[in-house]
Amino acid sequence: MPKTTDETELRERLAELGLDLPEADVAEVLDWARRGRASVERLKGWVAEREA
Amino acid sequence: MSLVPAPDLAPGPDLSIAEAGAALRAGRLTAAGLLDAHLARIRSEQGAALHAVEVLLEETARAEAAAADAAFAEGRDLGPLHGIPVGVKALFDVAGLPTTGGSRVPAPPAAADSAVVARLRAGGAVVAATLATYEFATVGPDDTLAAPPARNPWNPAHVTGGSSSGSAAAVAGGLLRATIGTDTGGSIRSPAAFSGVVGLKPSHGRVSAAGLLPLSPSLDHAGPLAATVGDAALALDAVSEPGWRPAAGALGQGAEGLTIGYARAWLADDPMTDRSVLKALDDAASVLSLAGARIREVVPPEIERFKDAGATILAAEAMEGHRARIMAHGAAYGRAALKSLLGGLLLTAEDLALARRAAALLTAEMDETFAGIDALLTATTLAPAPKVSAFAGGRAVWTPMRTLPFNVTGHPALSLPCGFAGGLPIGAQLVARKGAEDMLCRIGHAFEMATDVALQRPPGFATA
Repeated sequence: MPKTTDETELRERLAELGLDLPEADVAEVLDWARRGRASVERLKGWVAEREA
Repeated sequence: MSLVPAPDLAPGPDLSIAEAGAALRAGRLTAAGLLDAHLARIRSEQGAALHAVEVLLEETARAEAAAADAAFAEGRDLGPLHGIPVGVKALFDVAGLPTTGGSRVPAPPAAADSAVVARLRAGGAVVAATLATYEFATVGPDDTLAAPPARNPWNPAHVTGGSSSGSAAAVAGGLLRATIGTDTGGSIRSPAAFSGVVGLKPSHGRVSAAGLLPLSPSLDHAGPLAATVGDAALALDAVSEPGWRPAAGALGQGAEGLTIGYARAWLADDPMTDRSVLKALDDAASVLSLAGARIREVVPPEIERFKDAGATILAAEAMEGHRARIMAHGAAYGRAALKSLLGGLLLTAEDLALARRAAALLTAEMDETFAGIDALLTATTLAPAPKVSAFAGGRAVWTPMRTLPFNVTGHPALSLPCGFAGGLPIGAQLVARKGAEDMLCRIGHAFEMATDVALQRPPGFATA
């Protein structure tokens, strides 16, 4: 199964840190990272509305 | 499990800080004797089973107690904590000791005391121990770390909450009367709520973070956990930077004539809220009303935006702060802490800047919520302490709280016990305008005086 862009980026960042995590841990970190991305996307709309 | 009546006050560890201070000043108690009594509790089978203490600083503590007694003998009074044994979370630098952050990651001995420890020592306090923390103040409990997690004296099958886990367990178990913890998203207040003690997160900047192992500098706060509101107020005043109104300055003035905004919708509208918590908060509002306060419902800014802004700031700053340490010692991190930190790996500087703009907007909206009220009332956590078994193997479990908004805004917030469910404590949270810790402590103290909740002790911990 092809990797998504964010998964590829995460694996690159983990490699830069010298980390070789079990796949289950990578999946969990990716889930955390996606939740973080979703928060940022919500904030973009909310801040734009407030600052308009 | 049934609650037990509070014991008669015993000399020493069961005295409030003010009572112990009066006894010390009157020559009825010595700092050395008081320290001995606390050390006996810490070393008791019951005390040791709490795993609250990381390092017992007996040698330096004995020297500090002797110096405190000598100062009293010379007529020098160094302040409200003079001669009182205290502990600090293992995130504060203590000169000569590695600041472990509860981690296996190697740390050099600290070259100097953190600002908090320096203020405690200058104020005559006896720094008796460093205390357990979730690893680097992140997530937990993690039973895969070198030291076992701290245990909740009310029921060891349930978590203490964290990350100031040892700070809460030590106070709840009667090992120490006051401890200093840190709070980045609720790490003073949630363990205080879960463990049935008082936790006071002060205004941002009131307590110096110098020499504190940071997690997220924008959100990090240091402050006390204590057995009572009065103890917490005195402990906060002992570690505050100059220029802040004394937190203990309005104790005893009661709640009559004050207006308290009850953020009930923040609880009632959330399906995660345990009914026992909502009932305990409704009861707390009634108690404050009977004490003479006007209660009116208020609707603060939406909780979800606080979570978005706070979580983004925390994740981005924490990851950046740990980047070099992870590169050098990644394999030494606990699994739970490492995964939580890496969750911020894909956030950018632009994301962080956006979250900070959101935080500024949310702070302004929260300031507006305080128009016409003296304090805000809500819950600390939305449910009592979950079971330890839910966290087995370093698994991360979400425990819903109402604490993070006030790390984002920097308003002072006090968690105090307000009831029990199934033998586990429930915490009410009071929040005030910046710099108004005296108002928080005034209302919290009035609540304590109107109920017997603060007098309850964990079963088996009623006496020394």
